[in-house]
Amino acid sequence: MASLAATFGRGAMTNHWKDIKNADVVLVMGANPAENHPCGFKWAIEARDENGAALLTIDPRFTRTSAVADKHMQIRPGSDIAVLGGLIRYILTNNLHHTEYVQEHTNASFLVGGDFGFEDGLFSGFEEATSAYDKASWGYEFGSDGYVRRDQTLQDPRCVFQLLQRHYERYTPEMVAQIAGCSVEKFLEMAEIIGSTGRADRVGTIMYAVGWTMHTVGSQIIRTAAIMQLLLGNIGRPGGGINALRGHANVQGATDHAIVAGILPGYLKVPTPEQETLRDHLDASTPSPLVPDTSNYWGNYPNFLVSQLKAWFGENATPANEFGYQYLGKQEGDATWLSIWDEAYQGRLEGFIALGFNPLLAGPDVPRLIESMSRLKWKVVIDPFMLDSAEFWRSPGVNPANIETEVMYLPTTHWIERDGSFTNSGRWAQWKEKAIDPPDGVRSDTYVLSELFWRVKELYRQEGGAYNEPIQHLTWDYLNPRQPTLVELAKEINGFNQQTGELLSSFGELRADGSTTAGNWIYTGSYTEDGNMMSRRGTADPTGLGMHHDWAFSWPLNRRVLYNRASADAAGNPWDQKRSGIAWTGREWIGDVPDYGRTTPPGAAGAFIMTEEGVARLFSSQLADGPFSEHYEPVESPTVNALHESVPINPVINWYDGVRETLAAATDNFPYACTVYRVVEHEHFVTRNVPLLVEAMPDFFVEIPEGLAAEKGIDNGGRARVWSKRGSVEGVAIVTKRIKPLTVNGKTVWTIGIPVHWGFVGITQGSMANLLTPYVGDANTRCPEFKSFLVNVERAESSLA
Amino acid sequence: MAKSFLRRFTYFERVVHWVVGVTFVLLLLTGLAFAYPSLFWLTTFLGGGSAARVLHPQIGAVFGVGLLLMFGLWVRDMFLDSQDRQWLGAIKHYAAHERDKVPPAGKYNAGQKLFFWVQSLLGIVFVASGLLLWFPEGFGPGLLNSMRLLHYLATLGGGLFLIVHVYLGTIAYPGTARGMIDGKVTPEWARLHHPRWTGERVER
Amino acid sequence: MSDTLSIKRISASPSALIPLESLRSGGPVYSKLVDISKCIGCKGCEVACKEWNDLKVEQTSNFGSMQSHQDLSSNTWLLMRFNEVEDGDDLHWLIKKDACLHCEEPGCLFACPAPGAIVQYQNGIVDFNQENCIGCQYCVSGCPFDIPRFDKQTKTVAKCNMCIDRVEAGLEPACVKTCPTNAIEWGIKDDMLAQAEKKVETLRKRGYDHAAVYNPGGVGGTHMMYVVPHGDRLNDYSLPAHPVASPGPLRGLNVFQRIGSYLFGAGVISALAHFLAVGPESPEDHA
Repeated sequence: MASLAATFGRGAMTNHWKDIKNADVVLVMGANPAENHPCGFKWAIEARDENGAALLTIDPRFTRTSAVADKHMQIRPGSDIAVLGGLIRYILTNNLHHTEYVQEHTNASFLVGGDFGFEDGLFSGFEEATSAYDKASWGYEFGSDGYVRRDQTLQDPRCVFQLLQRHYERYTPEMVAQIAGCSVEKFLEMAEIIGSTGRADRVGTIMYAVGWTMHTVGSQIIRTAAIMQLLLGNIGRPGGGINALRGHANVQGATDHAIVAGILPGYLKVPTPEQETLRDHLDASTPSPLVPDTSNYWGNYPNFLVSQLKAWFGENATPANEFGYQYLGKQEGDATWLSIWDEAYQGRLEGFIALGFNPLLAGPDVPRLIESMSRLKWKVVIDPFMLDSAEFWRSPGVNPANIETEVMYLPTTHWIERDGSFTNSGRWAQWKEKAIDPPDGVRSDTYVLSELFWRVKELYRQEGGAYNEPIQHLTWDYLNPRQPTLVELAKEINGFNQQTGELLSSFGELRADGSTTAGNWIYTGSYTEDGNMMSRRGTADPTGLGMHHDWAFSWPLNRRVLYNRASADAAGNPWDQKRSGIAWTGREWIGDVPDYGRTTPPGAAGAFIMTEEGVARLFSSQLADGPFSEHYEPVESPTVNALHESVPINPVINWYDGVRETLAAATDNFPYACTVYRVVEHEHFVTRNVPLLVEAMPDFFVEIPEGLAAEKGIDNGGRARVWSKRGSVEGVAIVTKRIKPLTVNGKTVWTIGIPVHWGFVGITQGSMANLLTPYVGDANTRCPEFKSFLVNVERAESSLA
Repeated sequence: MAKSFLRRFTYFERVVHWVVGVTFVLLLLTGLAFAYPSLFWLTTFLGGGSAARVLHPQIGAVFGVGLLLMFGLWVRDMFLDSQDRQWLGAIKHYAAHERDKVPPAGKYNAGQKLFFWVQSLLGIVFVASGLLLWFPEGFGPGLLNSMRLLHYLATLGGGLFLIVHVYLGTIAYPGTARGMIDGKVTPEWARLHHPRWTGERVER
Repeated sequence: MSDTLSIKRISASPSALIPLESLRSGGPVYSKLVDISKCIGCKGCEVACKEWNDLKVEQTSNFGSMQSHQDLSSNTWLLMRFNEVEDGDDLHWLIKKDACLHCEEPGCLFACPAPGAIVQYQNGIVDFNQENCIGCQYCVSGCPFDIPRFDKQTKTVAKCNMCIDRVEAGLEPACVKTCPTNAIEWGIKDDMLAQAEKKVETLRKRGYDHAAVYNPGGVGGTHMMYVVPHGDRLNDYSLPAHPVASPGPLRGLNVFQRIGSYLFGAGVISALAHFLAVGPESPEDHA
C-alpha cells in the first residue's frame, strides 16, 4: 500500500470489485484471484464474457486463474519489475501512452533537480555506511514563485517524462526475456494487448495481491505497475485502476484501522521522538502544496488528528494539553512483523498478544520464529480455534521442557457469531449480522479487550506506573463499559459534533479545535444521523457501471472510484462517454461522488487531491528504494542480476542480525526457485477445522514440474522433500505440466510451488511452508519475501504425518 | 410278498439333485422378479426386493456348487452312443408314446443326456455372468450389460428345460419321481423307460 | 410449488417405456447449465452439495492432483475433475464438474428392475429413492456417464438428486447457489439452451473454434448441460461423445425378455397340451 500512497496519495484499491467488469483488459499478476478471491473474480469473468475483455495472467505458475484466462505467460518468481519495466518501455517506445492524460494528470511535466541520477543499479544519494538513500537529490526543481517548474511539452531532459523514458530504456523485450525467462514473442504478445489501453476509448485494469507485495522489492513492483497504468491513462477511470486484492474479508478494514505498523487509524502518522509537541508533529505531517493548483487534501491533517485525539481522550483532550498528544507513544524504529520478532529474538520483548491471527505459521523462517517465541516470558493467543501459535512449544523438533514461555489461550467468538462491519478490497464497508450464536461461555474479542483494559486500568490506579495518565484518561464511553457493542464502536469511529452531540456526515466537518471527534476520519460518514450507512442494501445502479451508491458505504465519502476526476479531460468531459466516472455539466459534476468538490470547476485544481503536486506521481521520492523502480533479484536468486551484477539485490533492505547466514550462498546446493501460495479450498488457518474443506484439499503437497520430477525420480502422488537453508518440508508430490522450465540468463531454472496452510494443530496436519522462507523484507514495508527463495528437492520415501 | 425295486439314485445323488433343483427354482423366481416388473412381487417369498437381491447370488453360489457335484457324479453316464443318436431321430415317436418305434435307452435316454449337457453349459453361463453382476466393480458397463443379457438368456433356456423336466418327471411318466425321492424305481418302470439299464436290485 | 414434482417415469413400471402424461406435463422443465469456460475449479459446488444433502465427510488424501477425490462415491455426488492437457505450446487445465446429467431418457431408470427406485419428474429431475432400491447396481451399468455409485453400507445406489427438496421449494440447487463465478446457472431448459448457444457464440469469437453445447441427443438431451470450450476434446473432459440411453445389450435384453415371457407361457401350455393329448405313460399301459 505504501507504493500506491507514494504514487496517488492514498494506499488502497483504486476501483472496486464490480468495476472490474468495465475493463477491456484485465491483467492479473502477482495474484491468483480465481483461487484467493473467487467471489470478486466473477467480475473479471464478466468483463471477459460481456465486455470482450482480454483476461491475462502473468505468474510463475499456471493457476486456476490462468485456466480461465485468454493468455498466460510464465515468469520466474521475483522478475516482476523486469516485466513491468519492459511494458513501460514498450508503451513509450511505441508511443502507446495516453499523452493528454499523462500531461494533465501526472507529474510527467515536473522538472527534477539536476543532482538526480541513476548509475550501475544505484540511484543518486546512496550511502554505503547506512545502506540507505539520502533523498536530497530526489527533489523537484523549484521556480522563483516557490512552486515546482513544469514543462508541459514534456521535452525538457530533466522533466519526469524524459527521465522515465531514459530509466526504462534498458528494459528491452530481450532483457525481459533474459531476466524473467519468458519468450520475447510471448512478452510482445502480452505487451501489445496491455498497451492497447492507452487510448481514450479503451481502459485496462490490474488485479494484484501479495504475489507482488511479498518481495524485497514489493513496493517497487506495485510502483512500476502504477506508473504503467498512469502512462496508459487507466487510473481514476471505471474499468481501470490498480486493484490491490486483500487477503481476507476485512484486511482492508484492518489496515484502515491501523493494523499495519507505522500508522494511526485513517493513515495518520505515528509520532516520532523528535516531534516533541503537537505542533511539531502537525508541521512534519502536513504537506505544503508544490504547485498552485492542488487541493493538497492532506493539508487537513490537523483536523483529522485532533479529532482522533478527541475521540480517544474526550474531555481529557484539551488545547491546554495539546489534545492529549503526549499520551501517544512516540515510536522509534518500526514495529513491523520482522522487527517485532527480531526484538523477541534479541530478548528485548517480554510478552505478545496474538489476536485474530496465527503468528507461528504466518511469518517467515519458522525455526527462527520458534526461537524468538520461546524467548518471550508470556504469550496470549486469542482466537476462535486452537492455534499452532498457542502450542508453539510442541512444534515438531522442539522440546517443551526447554521452553519457559507461559502461554494463555482465550477462545473467542468467530466473526460469524457477531455483527459488525467488513471492509472489502474495494473499500466498501458492509455491515453484517450475526449468523449463529457462539458456543456457551465463549466471549467476544471486545469483551476480552475491554476486560483487559479495565483490569489494567485498575492495577494502574492502585499501583501507579509509567504511562498511567493516558490509561486513566482514555475514553470508554459505552452503555455497558465492560462490553462495548460494535454499533457503539462504529459510531465512535464515525465521529460526533461535540456541541450538538450529533453524528457527523463528512470529514469535511472535522476541525482541529476540539469541537469534533472521529476515531478514523476516512470512515466519517459511515454512521450518520440518518443511520448506519454500512447496512444499506440499495441495488440501484443508474450509471450501469456497478457503482451502487446506495449499497453500504465506500470510503471516502461513499466514493466508488478513487481519483475519479482523472476519468475526465481538462474540460471535465469523460475520456469515454460509455464509461464515464464523473462528468462536468457546466454547473456540477455528475456520476460517482467526485474526488473533487461537487461544484468545483474542472480547472480549479489537479485531479489527485491527496498529493501536494495535485497530480499522480510517475516520479516519487516517498519510497526508500528509489523514485523509479529497478529490477533487483530476490535475496535468494538462482541467477545474477542481468542489469547490474554489482548491485544484484535491493541495496536498502534492512538486515536483521544473523539473517545473512540463513540465506543460501552461491556455493550451497539450492538450485531451484520456490514460491509459496494459498489455494482456494482454504481460508487462512481456520479451515483446517472444517471437515468438508479438509476433505476438499486434505494434504500438504509440493508442486513440481514434470521434467524436474522425472530427473529426481519423483512420482506423481508419491512423496517429496523440499528444503532450504532454513528448514525442510515433506509432502505429496503434485507433478504438473503447469510449471515449465525457464531459460534465465542462458541457464535453465525450475520453479517449485508450496502451499501455506498446514501446521501441527487442527484436523489436518502437515509441513509448515514457512519453515523454508527467508527472514527478510521489503525495503519500505518490511513485508517478508515469501514469494521467491531457493530450495532443493528430492524423492522422499518415508511417510511423516 | 416283498416287492423288489431297482436302485436308481444314491442318497448323495438325490441330495445333490434337490439342492440344485430347489436353488434353481428359487433363482428362477427371483430372477423372473428382477426381469419382469409385473412379477416383482415374487421377491416377497424371499423377504422383499432387497433381501431377494442379496439372497439371489448367494443361492446362486450354492446352485453353482451343486451343479459342479452333479456334473462330477453323472458325467460318466452322459456321453451319447449310437443308439442314443437313433433315439434322438425317433424323438417324435417318444413324445407320441409310440414305444415300439423308439430305440431302447440305457440308464439315461438321449434327451436326459442332452438336458444334462445343456444344463451344465447354462450353469457355466449362469455362474460366470452372475459372478460379474454380483461383483460389478471394475467392470465396464458394456461388459456388465452383456452379462445381464447372457444371464437372462440362460434363464430362458434353463427355465424352458425345467418345464419339460418337471413335466416328464412327474405327471407325464408316473413312477419317475420316486427315483429322485427314495432312489427306487420299479423293474416295470425301468423296462419301459430304460430297457438297456440293469440296475442294482434292492428289496423293500 | 409441489406441482413441479409430478411424475413422468417410474423405474420397473410401464411408465419407464411410455412416459406418463399429466395435467402438468406442460409445466416447467428445468436444466442446469455449466459453463466450463467460467469455472475456476474452486469446489464450492462440491462442498455445497455435501453440505446441503448432508453427505458424509470422506477421508481423502492427495493423490497428486488438485482434485479432492479419485472418484465419485455414494457420499460424493459431485466431483470437480482436473486434467492438464498439452496442445502444442498451449496448456489447457480442463476442470469439469462431474455429476448426474439428469438425462431426458435416463439409462439408469431403464435399467432398474426395482419398481419406484428411480423416478423421473416432469420437470426433468431423475431421482433415486433408496427405500425402493434393491442394490443390484444395474443402474450403474445402465448409465452412459458412469455416475451412480453403490454404497456398501446401505446396499443402495446414490447420485445427485438436483437438490430436489430445494427445487420443490422454488430454489435453485445448492451448487448453483454457491458458484461464485456463475459458471453454473439454473432455469427453464429452453432458456438455458438459448443461453448456451449465446455462450458458444461468445467463445467462438474469443477463438475457441470448437466450442460446443453438450446436450447429447443419444439420451434425449440432458438436464445438466455443459458449455464446452474445447468441443473437440470431449474425451479429455471425460464426457462420452455419443452416449446412448439404452446400449445394444440392454436393448437386446428388452427384446428377449418380451420373447421370453411368451416362450415361458408357451412351454407350460405345451406341456399341458401334450399331457391332455397323450396322457400319462406308465408301465401298466404296456403290461
